[in-house]
Amino acid sequence: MIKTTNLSKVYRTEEVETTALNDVDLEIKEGEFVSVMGPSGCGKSTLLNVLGMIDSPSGGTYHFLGEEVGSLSERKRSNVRKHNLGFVFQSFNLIDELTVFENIELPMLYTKVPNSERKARVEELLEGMNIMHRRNHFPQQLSGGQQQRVAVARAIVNRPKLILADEPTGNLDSANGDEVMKILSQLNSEGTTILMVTHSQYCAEFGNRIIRMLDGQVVTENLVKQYL
Amino acid sequence: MIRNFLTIALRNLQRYRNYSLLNIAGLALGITCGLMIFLIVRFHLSMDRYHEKADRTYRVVTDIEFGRLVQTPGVPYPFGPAFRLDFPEVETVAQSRQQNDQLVTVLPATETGERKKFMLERELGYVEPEFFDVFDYTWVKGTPGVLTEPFKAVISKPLAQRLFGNTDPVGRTFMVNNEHTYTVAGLLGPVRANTEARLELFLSYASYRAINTKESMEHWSGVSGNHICYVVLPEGMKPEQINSRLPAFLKKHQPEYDRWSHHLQPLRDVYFNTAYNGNVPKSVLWALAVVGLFLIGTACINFINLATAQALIRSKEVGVRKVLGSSRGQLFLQFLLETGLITLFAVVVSVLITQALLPFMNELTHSKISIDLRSDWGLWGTLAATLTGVTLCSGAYPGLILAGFRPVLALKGRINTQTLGGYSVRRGLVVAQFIICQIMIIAAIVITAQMNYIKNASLGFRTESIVLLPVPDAGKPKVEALRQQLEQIPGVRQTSFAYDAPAGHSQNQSNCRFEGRQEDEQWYITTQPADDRYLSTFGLSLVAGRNLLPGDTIREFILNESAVNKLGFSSPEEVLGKQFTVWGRTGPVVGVIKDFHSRSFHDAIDPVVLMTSLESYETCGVRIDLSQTETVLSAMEEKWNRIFPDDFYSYTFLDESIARFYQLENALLGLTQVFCGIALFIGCMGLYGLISFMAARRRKEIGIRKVLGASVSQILNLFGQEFVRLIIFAYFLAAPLGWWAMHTWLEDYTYRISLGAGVFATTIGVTLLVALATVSVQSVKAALANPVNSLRSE
Repeated sequence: MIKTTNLSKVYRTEEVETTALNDVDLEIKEGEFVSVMGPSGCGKSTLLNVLGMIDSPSGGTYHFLGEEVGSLSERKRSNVRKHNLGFVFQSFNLIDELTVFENIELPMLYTKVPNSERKARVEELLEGMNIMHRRNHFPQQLSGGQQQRVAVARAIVNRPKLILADEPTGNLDSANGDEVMKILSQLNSEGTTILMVTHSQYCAEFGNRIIRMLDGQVVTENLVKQYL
Repeated sequence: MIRNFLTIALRNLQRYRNYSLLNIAGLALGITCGLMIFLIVRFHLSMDRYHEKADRTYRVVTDIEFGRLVQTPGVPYPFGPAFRLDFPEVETVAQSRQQNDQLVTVLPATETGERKKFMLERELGYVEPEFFDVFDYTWVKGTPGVLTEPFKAVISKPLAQRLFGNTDPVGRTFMVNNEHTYTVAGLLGPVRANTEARLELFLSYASYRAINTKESMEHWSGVSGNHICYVVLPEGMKPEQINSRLPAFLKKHQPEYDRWSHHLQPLRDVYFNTAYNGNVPKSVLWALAVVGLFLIGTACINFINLATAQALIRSKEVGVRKVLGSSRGQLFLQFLLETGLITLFAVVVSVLITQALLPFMNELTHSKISIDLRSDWGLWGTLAATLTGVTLCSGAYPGLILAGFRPVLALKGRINTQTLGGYSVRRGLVVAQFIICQIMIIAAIVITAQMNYIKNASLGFRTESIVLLPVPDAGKPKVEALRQQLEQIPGVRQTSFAYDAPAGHSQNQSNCRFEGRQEDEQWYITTQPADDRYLSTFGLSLVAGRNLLPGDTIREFILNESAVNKLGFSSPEEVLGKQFTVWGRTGPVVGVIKDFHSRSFHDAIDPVVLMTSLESYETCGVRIDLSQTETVLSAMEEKWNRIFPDDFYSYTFLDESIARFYQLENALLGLTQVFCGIALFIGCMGLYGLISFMAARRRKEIGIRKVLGASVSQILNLFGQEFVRLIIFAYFLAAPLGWWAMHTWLEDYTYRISLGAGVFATTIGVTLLVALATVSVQSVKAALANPVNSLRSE
C-alpha cells in the first residue's frame, strides 16, 4: 500500500535548515497495523503528515496504492486523501461549532455521499461507538474519551483504506486510551491498514510491527512479539 | 455542503457575538449611508426621465451678452408662435408660464358656501395644450383640448382634494389673485415627485393671452425666466440642426437685439444646469456618490481587518477541513458565504434604518423620495449588487487568507499574527480608512466654516428682526393705510415698502443711461423700487448725498457704489445731481449707498438703483422688536387681513429668506457632517475591533512585560504607537487631497474663507483624539490586567 524511497523532508527558514526526514525507506502492506515510535523531534509526526499527504516531501518518492503521490498538486493530494485516508489526532481536532453528528458527517460532504446514506452511516457509527445519546452535543460537552471516539468515527466514516493516528491516546486516561486502542485493533482486524505514531510501548504493541525513528531516519523495524 | 456552511456560519455568529455585532453594525452603517445616497442620487438623476419623449425634448434658453453673460431659461412671449411657424418640421412646440406665490380663491359650489383661500407657491402655471404632448400625465377626466379655451383649468387629484375636498372638481370655479375666474375642465392623476416642473394647476395659456395686452404678448424685447418654450424634435433630428438656424430666426424677429442668442437645452440637462436656474449640479450628485462608495468602502475595510485578525481563531477548523479533503476553493466559498450572510444581515438592517430615516433625509435634502419594496426592482437590483459587491470586496481577501492556511501548521495551532500574513495589507487598509475619514473631516470643517462665514458676514444691510409681508397686486392704494395700521402695533419699529428686500429671490434688471451719454450703458442695473424708509428700515448706509424724498412715482435715484464704479466714476460725489435714466424715466441721482450683497455669496455685487415707485411695491418690510415677536406677528396678521380681506396672508423673516439662498449648501453641510461622523465612527469601530484582538493575542506578552517591570504607560505605548504612526501617515496623504477638493469647492464662491493651517491641524487633532480614545478603552484594560492570570492560562 505504501512504499517510500529516500523520502526526505527539510524545513527551511532564512537562517536555519532542519532535516525532519532523512532518506526514509519504508513499506507498509495492506492490512498491517504499524506503530511508529521515537523520541520527540525525531520526525514521527512529519512522517505521518507526509504519508497522510497533508505535507509534501522535499525529496525521494512516495507511492501510495501503486501511484506516485509525492509530487501531486494540492488538489490531487486532497482528492486521494479524502477517498482513502482517515486521521485520528492526539488533540481530537473536532470542530467546536459542529455537533457530534455533524462532525462525523463532515468527511462525507467532501466525498459527496448522498444525504440518506450519510445519515445511516453516522448513526451506525454512533451506535457502534456507544455515543448515540451524544449525537446532538458539541465537542466541549464530551469527555476526552468520548471526543476521541467521535474523532475515530469521523476518521472511518468514509471507509478509508488507511488510518493515520497521531498519538491517539496521548490526551486520554488509561481506561479511555484502552478503549480507543481496542477500536483501532478491531478496525485493523476488519481489514483497515493503520499507521500510528505513539510514545507508548503499550499502545505500540497493539500493532503488528513497530518502527523506531531517530533524527529523521528509521533505525529499527521489529515485529511485535505475538507476530514473531 | 451549503447547509453545513450556513450552520457553522450561524453558530460562529452566535459564538463570537461581539465580533459579529461589530461587523454587522459597521457594514450596516456603511451600507445605510450608501443606500441613502443611492436613493438621493437616483431621485435627482431620474428627474423628468420618465416622459416618453424625454430624449427628444428640449427647452429653448436665452443668452444675453451685456456687460456680463446673462443666462435665462425663458424666451420672449412671441417666441413660441414664431418658432412654430418657422420650424414646421419640429414635432411639438409648447409654451408655459409658471406663476409663483399665487392666491387661489375657491368659489363655493352653492350660494351658501364659503370662499376658501390658498397660496400656491409653485404649483400654478399657464400652459398650452401641447404641453401635454411633451410631458406625460395621467388624465382622469378631460383631454388636453380643454385648455384651448381661455379661463379653463386642469388640476391634479391631490391638489383638487386640497382645494375642493372630496367633491368632483370638474366644473368648479376659482379665482386667481382675485382677478379672473377659472373653471376646472380636466382632472389629472397625482403628479410624479421626480419632475422639475412641479405644476399641479394648469391654466390655459389662452387665459394668459387674454389677461395681457396684445402688445405685451408680441413684445420681443423682454424675457422672463418663467416663460418657457419646450420643443420635441422628430426622431433622428439633432438639436444642432435647429441651433444652427436660430441666429437667422433671431435676426428675422429681433433684429435690434444682436447681443441675444437662443439655443436648445436638452430636457435631461434642465434640472442640473444651474446657469439656467437648475436645482442641483450633477457634480454635487457625483460627489455624493463618491462619498457613498467611500463609506461602503470604509465599512468593507473594517470587515476585512476584523475578519483577517479573527482568522486565527478559525485556523483549527481550516486544518481539519483540509485534512478531511476540503479543497481551497471549497474553503474560500465557505468563508465567502459567511461574509455573504453577515452582509445580508447588514443589508436588511440598512433597509430598515433607511426606511425609518427617509422622512428626515427628505427634509434635509428637500427631496420627495419614497421606497416601495413591492415594485421597486431598481432598488432590489441595487441591494443585490451591494450584497454581492460588499461580500466579494469584504470576503475575498480574508477568504483567501483562511483557505491558504497550511493544514499542518493550522492543526498544530502554529498560525499566529506573524505567519497569518497580510499584516502590511491590514496596515494599508487602516491607512486607507483614515485617509477617507480625514478627507471627510476636512470637508466638514471647511463647509461648516464657509457656511458660518456666510451666516455671520455682513451683507451690508440689516437682516435680523425684519419680517417681510406681501403687498397684493390690487392693494397698492391701501399701502399707506397698511403702514399706519402696522405702525400702531406696539413692537413694530419701522416699515418700508419696496419691490423686495435688499437680497431677494426675484430681481429685475434693466438698461440704464447716464447724463450726457448717447447710448445706454452696456450692462444691466438691478432695479429696486423702494420708499424713503427703505434705507433706515434695512440699515443701508449712505456714503454720499441724501435719501429719496417720499413719493409714489419715479423722480430721483439712489445708486450703490458698484453702479458708480460701473459708470466710470471713482468718487460717489461725482454722480450726485447728474441725470440718470431707467425704465424710460429720467431724474437726478440724489444719493449713493454703500455696496450690499443683493444675491448669494456665489455672485459678485451687482450695480443697483433705488427709486420710489408705488405700483412696483410687492413687499412690506417690518422691523420689529424681537422680544414681542409673537404678539406682533398675530397683530400684523389681523391688521393685514382687515385691509386685504380677499388676499392670503403670509410672512417670512428676512434672515430665513436669505438662508434659502444656501439651501443646497445647507443640505450638503448636513449630509457631510452626518457622513463624516459615520465614517469616523466606522473607522473607530474597526480600530476597537483590531485593538481588542491585539490585546487578546498579546495577553501573554503583556503579562511577561509586566512581570519584567513594564509600567502601564509603557504597555499603552505598545498599542498606541502603531496606530498613531498609521494615522499620521494617512494624514499626509489626506491633507493634500482634502485641500485640493475643498479649494475647488470654495472657488465657486466669490466671497469665501481661506484654507488655513487651522483646518488641517484640527483634522489631525480630532482624528488622533478619537482614535486614541477608542484604542485606550481596550489597551488600558489589557495593561491593567493581572499578569498572573494571563501567564497561568498560557
